[in-house]
Amino acid sequence: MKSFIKKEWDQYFLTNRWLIFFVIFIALGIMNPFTAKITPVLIENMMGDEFSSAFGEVTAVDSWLQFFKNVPQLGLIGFLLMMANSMSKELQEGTLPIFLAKGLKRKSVILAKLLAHTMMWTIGYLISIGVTYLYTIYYWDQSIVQQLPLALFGIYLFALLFIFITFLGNTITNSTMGGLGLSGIVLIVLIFLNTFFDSKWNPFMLFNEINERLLNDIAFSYSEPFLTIIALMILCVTFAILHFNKRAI
Amino acid sequence: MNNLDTLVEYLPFLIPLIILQYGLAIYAIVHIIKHPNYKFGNQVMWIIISLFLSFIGPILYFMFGKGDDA
Repeated sequence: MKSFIKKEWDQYFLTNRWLIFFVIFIALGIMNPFTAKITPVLIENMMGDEFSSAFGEVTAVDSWLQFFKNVPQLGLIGFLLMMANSMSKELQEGTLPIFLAKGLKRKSVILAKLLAHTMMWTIGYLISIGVTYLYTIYYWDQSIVQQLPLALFGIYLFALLFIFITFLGNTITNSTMGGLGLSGIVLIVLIFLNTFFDSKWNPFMLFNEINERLLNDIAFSYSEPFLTIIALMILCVTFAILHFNKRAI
Repeated sequence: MNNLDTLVEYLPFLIPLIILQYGLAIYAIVHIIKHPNYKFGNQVMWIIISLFLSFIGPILYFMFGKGDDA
């Protein structure tokens, strides 16, 4: 199990994946405060002063709102594209039988891969938070931002759920598009449910009213969506293991 | 506020972004020249893509263009 985790880890660091990875997350971190800062200037240049004054001052909250817009979109999509073939590629390359013959449990293959992806996502997310945070305290007053750690953790978990779902889809269908497709379907269902049926158990609600939460510290119940996400993640792992145990390699 | 002040105010953003962008482009181009095997396309095409599509170009190369041997 240990050597397999190491192999997964090497796959990130010996290939150029780590480079793309760090550049994406650092660039995303810079982009958030940059967009927040430059948008009013651009509007002023295009529309004139009287129009831009309607938007008010840019604050630290705007910088973090950009974070919540960019990282779950560009960051997560980039990450999913990178890991969407993690299982199918493994089977194509045919290195797995060697590990299995040496006594590696099939369950361990799944768990090791998910662990490696989880660690990489955690590192990338923390890099983006770090960069955005440094810029935000440099330019603005960070103390007005409320509920930030919980909001950040919510989106972190939400993204992790989609990494698990993509992995499950990739394991079952044995294709890159299968993983991404399954994620896409789940996302559409969640957005649909969030729009038409107001439920505090829907993980997508972690995106609701982020603005209000950061600015006015309104009451928001995090535990229900967190529980749903953890339950769905456990389901993903279980299905992936069950399916992988039965498949011929 | 004159133009120089504006530039100085945005330098903390611009310097890291420029370093990242050109660092990545140079790294990609060195890789393209050293590993002349591509899934598709040719050397000139990938160098142009890496040089002129900031961020996206090198990423496209490493994800889709790079040969498997590296």
